[in-house]
Amino acid sequence: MLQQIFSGTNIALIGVALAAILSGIGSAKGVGIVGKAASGMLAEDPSKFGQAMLLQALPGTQGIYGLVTAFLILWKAGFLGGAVSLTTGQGAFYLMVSLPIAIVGLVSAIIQGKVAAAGVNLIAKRPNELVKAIMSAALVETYAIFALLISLLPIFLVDVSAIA
Amino acid sequence: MAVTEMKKFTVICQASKAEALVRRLMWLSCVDIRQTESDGLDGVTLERPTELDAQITEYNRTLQKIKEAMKLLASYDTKAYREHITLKVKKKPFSPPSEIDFDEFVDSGRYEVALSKLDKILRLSKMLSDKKAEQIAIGDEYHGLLAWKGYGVPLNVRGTAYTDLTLGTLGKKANIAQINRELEKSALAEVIRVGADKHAQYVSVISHKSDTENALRILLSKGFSPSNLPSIDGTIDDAILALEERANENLENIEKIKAQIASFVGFEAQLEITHDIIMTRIVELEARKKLAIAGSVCIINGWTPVASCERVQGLLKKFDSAYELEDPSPEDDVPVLIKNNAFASAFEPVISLYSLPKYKTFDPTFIMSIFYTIIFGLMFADVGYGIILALGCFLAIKLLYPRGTMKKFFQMFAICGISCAVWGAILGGYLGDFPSTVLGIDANVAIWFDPIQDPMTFLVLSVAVGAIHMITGMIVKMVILIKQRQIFSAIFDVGSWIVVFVGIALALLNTKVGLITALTGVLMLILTQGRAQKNILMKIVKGVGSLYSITSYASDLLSYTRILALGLASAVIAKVVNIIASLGGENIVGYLLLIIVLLIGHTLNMVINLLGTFVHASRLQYIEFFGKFYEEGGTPFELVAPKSKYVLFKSKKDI
Repeated sequence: MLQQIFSGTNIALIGVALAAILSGIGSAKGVGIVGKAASGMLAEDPSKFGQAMLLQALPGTQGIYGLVTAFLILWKAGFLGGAVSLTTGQGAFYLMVSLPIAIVGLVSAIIQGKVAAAGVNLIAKRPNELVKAIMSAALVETYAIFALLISLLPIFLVDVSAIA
Repeated sequence: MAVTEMKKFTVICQASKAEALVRRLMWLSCVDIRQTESDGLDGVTLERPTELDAQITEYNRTLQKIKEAMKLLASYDTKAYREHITLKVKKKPFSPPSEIDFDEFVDSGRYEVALSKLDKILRLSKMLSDKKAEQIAIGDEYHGLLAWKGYGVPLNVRGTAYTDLTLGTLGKKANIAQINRELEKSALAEVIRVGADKHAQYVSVISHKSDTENALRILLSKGFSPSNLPSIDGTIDDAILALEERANENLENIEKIKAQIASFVGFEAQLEITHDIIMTRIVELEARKKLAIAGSVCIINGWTPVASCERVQGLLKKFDSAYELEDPSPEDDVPVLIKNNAFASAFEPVISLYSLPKYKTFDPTFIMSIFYTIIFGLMFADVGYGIILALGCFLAIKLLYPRGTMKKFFQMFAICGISCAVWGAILGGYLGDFPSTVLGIDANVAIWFDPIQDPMTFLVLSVAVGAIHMITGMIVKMVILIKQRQIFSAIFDVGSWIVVFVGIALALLNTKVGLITALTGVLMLILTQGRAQKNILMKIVKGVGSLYSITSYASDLLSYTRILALGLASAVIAKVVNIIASLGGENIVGYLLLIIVLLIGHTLNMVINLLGTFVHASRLQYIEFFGKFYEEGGTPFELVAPKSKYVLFKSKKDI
């Protein structure tokens, strides 16, 4: 029974789920934080909607990264093509590669949301400083990109069929 | 390539001519006017021109009005008002901005006309909103009366010789028969139902004059509330008719006003010019606020680049003013203006985002621009993306007529786009792996190597570019030190490290030669870094201790691995987009999916990675490169010049 539940296929699916769930939660939270700050600013000056949108969209990318990783695992492991049977080792491989973007995506999206919310306050007072507000938030994004890279490279480069 | 040399000028002219002089100085577009300080002018009390603030506020208010009017006119520029639009001088999209010269600027006639038209537009707009509010009020009244429809008594009849007639409402569920029975017992009155709607019942109350008060008190306790109907010599139907007429008349007026507003459509072009004239006048007033007046003379202080001195002098002579042009003294806060060739000047915004160099120090824009281009290209190496970026920026410059910093940014990204395309060809990026995944061409398209297949080579390439970047920074520092005649510092403090690094690099090719070179550098450091110390022991400790700096150089060097990370990230995400896009198979649905996914996916990838690439290419300059030599903190040269948003002010050489 336990062996059926923790089959290689299912372990890989846990990885798929984690990548989509955790980074999705992070992005939702991050976008939400910026949204709240933006509404406060828009109450006073609705014409800054475009700028606020730009900042609010920034923490949304982690969710996309998680989705991309989840999707790629589904594709590489053959889930999109029909019946799949993975060994425990292969399943564990997919679980492991999903972790960088799942965890870093979760945390970095929330932190990026906070930085972008601070950026909203910045442009509320100084509308000309949008570039600086975006740059600060983009610096946080870097680590999500790096995590994505480490999640994706093994998917492309490792020959999974060689894993026992 | 350099920080522009500046001259300080002090002008004393007649106070009555100050306004005209400042205006012309502004149109020369080559001076920075500074606040005149009173110290150093013994026995002279300076007055500041104070009335200017009120004028600036007034101008700002007018600017606001213009924006309002333009928004209003834009909403009338539709087909519905076509017949009323008389001015057919419509601006075509992407047409160049119109040009205004000095004579047109000072010609106040046109400006006054524009302002009076502006007032008229806003008055019409105000009238329109009043009429609209009136229409709503009429509507409310109309609906109030409608419920009384059928009530035949003229409204100004409020009773007879012995009775009072009161109109009012009762609750929706009030039982009138019951109320009348109760009234019969204690009052001389009767309630008659006129009509009802979903809110209330409308009733008239007839009561004996002697008992009206009593009757109303009883009725009030039953939920009666008196209504206030217009007291006219006619029935309710007459009142309703009159209101209908008023509403129609009002509606006609609204249409007339709208038509009148629409007749101003096309006037925006003139409003734009007026807007910019006012913006420029504000610049002028802000400059005049910095002058000082002592009696009938006026003192102007400021800076101008040496190259423009002659033009400034020429103007000052025309105004018969006393002036002095002098070189900056060490305690002066000299404004900094950097000047570069056409290529490098596109990268000036990157410098100003950080901080301008101090006056008379080295302006690194040119060297930086070369490295920026290379590093940007490496981080975003893709022929497809590069061409899209470069083309997009070229088109933006051609069609949108950006100016100032915005134009430079577009130029910079156009240059970087070309670099991306070149590196993309070298590293085989064509919208990621579009040729192999989507088109099915199974060939190695890379001229050199594919970063995804061979990340180690890419890592070495990144760090190598970093090493060259850093060593260039150190050489710049050496040159700066040599120019300051600090030869020892140049050779020992910076030169020895260069020797160490060159040695390490050589060791990769030839271990023995490299090692010897590196050790020579280390020896130089140990022997020379303690030279400021008197004690021989301290000399050695300091010398050996200086080797610790290797950690900071190492961390700087490792920082360049971000080139690998960002370069791979954009390539990998592009690959993912291509894979998802080609999943649909070879049928109509599949092709549709292909196109949609490719468009959305690659656009998203471009936006995200362009942002990252811009930020990190800049960061590598700011921290790893500038850290080696840059003296930041220069005060920007604030050019006093005509300012515009819509039109182009043609500056005049001779004014």
